[in-house]
Amino acid sequence: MKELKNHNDKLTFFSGNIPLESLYTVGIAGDKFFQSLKNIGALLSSKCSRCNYVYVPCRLFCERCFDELKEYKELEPVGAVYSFSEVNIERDGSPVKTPVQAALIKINGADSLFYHRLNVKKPKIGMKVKAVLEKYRKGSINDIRYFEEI
Amino acid sequence: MKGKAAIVSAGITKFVRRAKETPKELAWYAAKMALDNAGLSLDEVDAVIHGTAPDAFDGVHQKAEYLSDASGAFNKPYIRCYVGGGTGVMAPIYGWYYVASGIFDTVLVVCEEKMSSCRPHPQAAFLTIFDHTTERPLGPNLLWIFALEMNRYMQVNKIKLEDIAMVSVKNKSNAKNHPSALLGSEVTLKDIMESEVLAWPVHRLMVSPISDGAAAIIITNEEKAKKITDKPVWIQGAGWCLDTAFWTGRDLCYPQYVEYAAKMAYKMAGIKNPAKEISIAEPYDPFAYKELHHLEGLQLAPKGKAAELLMDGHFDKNGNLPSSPSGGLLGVGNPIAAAGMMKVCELFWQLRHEASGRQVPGNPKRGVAQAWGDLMQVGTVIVTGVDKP
Amino acid sequence: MKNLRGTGLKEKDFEREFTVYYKPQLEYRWDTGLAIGKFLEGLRDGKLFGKKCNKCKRILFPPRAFCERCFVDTDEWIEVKDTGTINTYSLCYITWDMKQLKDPQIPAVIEIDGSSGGFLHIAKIDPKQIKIGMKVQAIWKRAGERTGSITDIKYFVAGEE
Repeated sequence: MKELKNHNDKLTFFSGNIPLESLYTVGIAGDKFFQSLKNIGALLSSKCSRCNYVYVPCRLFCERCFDELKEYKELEPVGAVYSFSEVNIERDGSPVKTPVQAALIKINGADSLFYHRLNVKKPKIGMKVKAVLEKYRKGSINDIRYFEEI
Repeated sequence: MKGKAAIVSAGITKFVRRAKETPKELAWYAAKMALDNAGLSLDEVDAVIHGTAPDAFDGVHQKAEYLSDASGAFNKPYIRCYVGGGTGVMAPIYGWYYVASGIFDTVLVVCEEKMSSCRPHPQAAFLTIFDHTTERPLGPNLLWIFALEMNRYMQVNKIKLEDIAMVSVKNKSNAKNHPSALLGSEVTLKDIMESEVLAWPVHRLMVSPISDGAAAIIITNEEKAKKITDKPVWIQGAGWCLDTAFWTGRDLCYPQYVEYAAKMAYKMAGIKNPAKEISIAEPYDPFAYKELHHLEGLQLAPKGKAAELLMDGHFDKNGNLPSSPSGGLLGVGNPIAAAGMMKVCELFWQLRHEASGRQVPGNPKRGVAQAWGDLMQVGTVIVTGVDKP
Repeated sequence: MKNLRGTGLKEKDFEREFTVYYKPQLEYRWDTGLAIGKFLEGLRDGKLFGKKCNKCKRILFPPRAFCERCFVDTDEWIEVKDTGTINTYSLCYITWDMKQLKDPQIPAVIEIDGSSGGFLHIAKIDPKQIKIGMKVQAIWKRAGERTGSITDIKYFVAGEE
């Protein structure tokens, strides 16, 4: 922990930090999702037997009906761009080297939207895209490098 | 308030040191169990309250928003309750006034905490409760304030450390029969006294363990309660109070704010002599001495005398006034907001004779649960009972 | 109540579990404000200042711009002594991130003579000798070393009874 002595001569402020770190587990449904992504490169979905809504990434429960989701199904990482943005600045306001194409993608066979990056010349809503996967995958959302145009 | 509110169902997870589940999954387990036990679907819930302590534990900013889907708040009126460690009892109080005011018929109250996400140690989340300019440069840690309060409490009231240690013995033993318990076991006084001194007079086994878990209840009005159960547990009184945040400027030997909160709740419940009219107490016990400190604040022991009553067996499961029959935070675990809610759940099960191996003898009519937190100065108190207020 | 859910992991399980690590950059600049700003100037000069509430007559220490009980502005600055009494203390063998300490840190609430309050500081007294009610005396850093921080007082030692 930094000692809190970085104050100015006029004693009007003190500087310091909050030394927090987080280590998140991916959870019960998340574990299934990342096993699937890592091992076979599929996007695992789960479907609510009551309202038929299909969640991807898969979830343990339906937020609409509150039922446990038990119908898991592997989906191909293929879909259509639902919406996108090109991000040109870093979080601190400086320009990015390469613009980031952030996108919501409607995966074929799913109802929920999937958030990831694109790597296409000119993004368009409705554009058909597929995931480009890393060769060595470790069970992370970045096992998908980006989605590219089909 | 004119309207009546009753607890009709409860749900809880296991309390574990490090859960594999995400915070959402934990919250959903507890909320779903409460709904299933009541035979309700989510459609029948009018509003949802989520109680959860600092965002820094789960490592998610605005974490009640993150937990909303798992709490059953999809497209419903939803609010977070957060008063530090006092949250687990304050959240049910929110639920009570939502229903007693007549605004909603049925509310779901969920409390969740996942402290294991916070590294290198959840204490990091507490460092800023100390004043950034006048205290933090001294390198304080959370144990300091408890150790300082405990030492003062012991000195002023001439209480022996061994007597305080007996709270740990009692609660860890009670917790053996709690299906959520992380630390239920038979430990001896010797075990407690020989455990590592963290910050004298606080020994390791006098501290509740960091835990992950969730708990939930459903509160309804009288009409709905009748349809759901023939054994509603009525909310008879509620009280809360906050003392000054300048914690070094008040006497730490007695929790005056708990007294004020308790008196507010007792007045509402029509209780004149709490030590006689209350059958079960679930005072907040994150540290062994806190249970005694709080029993005094709750007017269930004379000032400075809780330790004597404890040694006489008064607060044992089979004693005159069982205290923490659940096993408390010392035995069941301390996922902050969920731990306070666990105490409210315990009263629900005890008053319905559903506490199996933990069931107190006789025919308990009324219980009090209390939680405590912030910078050692918030007291939240709820009185529940089998008789309609 | 029999089949409660929740899956406990051991620390070593994290080697094979899928996890995500995040370290937020939480850097702050906290303003010292009206009362504490002047308090820090006093510390740099080797003096302790409280502030009096003329309504309840308390001399608030450390000083505050307002009295939280009377809810009024506090009034005059009062220099208080650098001696006091131990209200309570602890012998702490552990740091905030649970690292063990061989020699205990001794946090104490010290009631400063001439004030109505206590404040948190560190005592440097033999753990076998320290007692609640003991008189203590501040040990200051030297004039050139003081920067206007609570640590301008190094610690408190046993004072004259």
